[in-house]
Amino acid sequence: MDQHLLLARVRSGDAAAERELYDTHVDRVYRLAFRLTGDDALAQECTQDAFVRAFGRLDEFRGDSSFGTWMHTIAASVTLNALKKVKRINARETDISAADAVTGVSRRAEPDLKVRLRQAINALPDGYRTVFIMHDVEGYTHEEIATALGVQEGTSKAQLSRARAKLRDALADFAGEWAS
Amino acid sequence: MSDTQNDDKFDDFLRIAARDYNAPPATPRAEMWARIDAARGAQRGATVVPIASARRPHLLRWTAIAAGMAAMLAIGVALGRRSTGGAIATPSVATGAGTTRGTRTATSSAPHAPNVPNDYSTGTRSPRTDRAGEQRVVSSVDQRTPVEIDAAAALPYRLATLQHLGQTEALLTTVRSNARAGQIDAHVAKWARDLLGNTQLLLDSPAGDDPQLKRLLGDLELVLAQIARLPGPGGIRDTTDFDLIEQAISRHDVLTRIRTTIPAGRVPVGS
Repeated sequence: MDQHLLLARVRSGDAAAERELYDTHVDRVYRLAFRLTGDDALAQECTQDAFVRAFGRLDEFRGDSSFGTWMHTIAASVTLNALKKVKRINARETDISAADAVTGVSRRAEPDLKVRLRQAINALPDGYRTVFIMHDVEGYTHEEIATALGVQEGTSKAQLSRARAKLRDALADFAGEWAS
Repeated sequence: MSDTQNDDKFDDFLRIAARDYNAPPATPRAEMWARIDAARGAQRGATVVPIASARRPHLLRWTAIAAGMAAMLAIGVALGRRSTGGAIATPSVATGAGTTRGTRTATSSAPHAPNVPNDYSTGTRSPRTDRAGEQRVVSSVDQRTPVEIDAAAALPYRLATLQHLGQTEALLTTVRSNARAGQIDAHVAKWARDLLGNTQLLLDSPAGDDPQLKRLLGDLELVLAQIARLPGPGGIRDTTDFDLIEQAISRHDVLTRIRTTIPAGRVPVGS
């Protein structure tokens, strides 16, 4: 169904239209939330929150971009804020449990490529990681990323380039995997 | 091979290798839609603008949130009654207008639909008898003082907070006693997630303006977040998880603080 018509029906209170709009966009929103959080419960909460906010603020959607792009802007914002909150709670827990934890275990280089890649992606600065996940993992264009994150397209490209460079360094031991 | 070709090969390799990074499962569409639908029902329920809201516009938003919370608390009450054998009083507070959709979803598992008192005049007319004994219909324009309005407006948040603390007490008591027995109810993590959401809502609401309550809710947020991360049904549980949760409950003394916050006897019912 034509997006404008569907949105008009949603604005008029059509519950079936609301469900249709949700069904059209939920997969991509949920996938993004899950990729960024790695946690099903949190990804579901972020997805739900994003849709509730989007439906509640539908009057603000002017149609300059596609609804999907607008939806992903909200989803990215909700998810990244949730991640910050989780980090804050985790930091407090670390403070609390630090007295009980056994420390001083030295880190060894992880021999498994997949595990090392995972660690490397997790270790990326938040901005690089978000752009990398959105572009290289979930296939968003730089235009979509720029709109969703409120940055210039050039910034998105630069952050992606830096993310890849950091990952290349982190995976230097495995250069044979792609050089051959 | 040139550096550029090497970089391109790495980029291609990276895209393929990273596909498994936080690979999402199938989208739980129906589950999420049910919760979104409930929240939307609460949102719609707050679209009637009462006369007095012109002086307190921000409370309209929180009325909507409180109505949504009330629906979530209904589910929490039902779970609490099931786990404590009905020891917790069922809240019964008058509802806000137009929560039909949210109420329908909430009452699917709750014995009652808890409500939030509508403290604002909606311009409805009530009959009054004048000195001559004749009934005279007058407009119920709000004539309360700002202090009275604030006190009345704070009531739903206080009630919601007390009800929420009751449910949280039930969860923590359940977790603690089961952990000591060496087992945890499979649905405790989900229960904790629901309560965690309510806790965060309360922290961001006028209920969080009270410093003592804010500290308690902040500590509960921490404890509930730990419980919420327990594996669900079929997952592998580590005794360390239980130890950490027990330590968090004891360290923050949350159970004692909850019990001293909730008035003795039943959770008060809104007038």
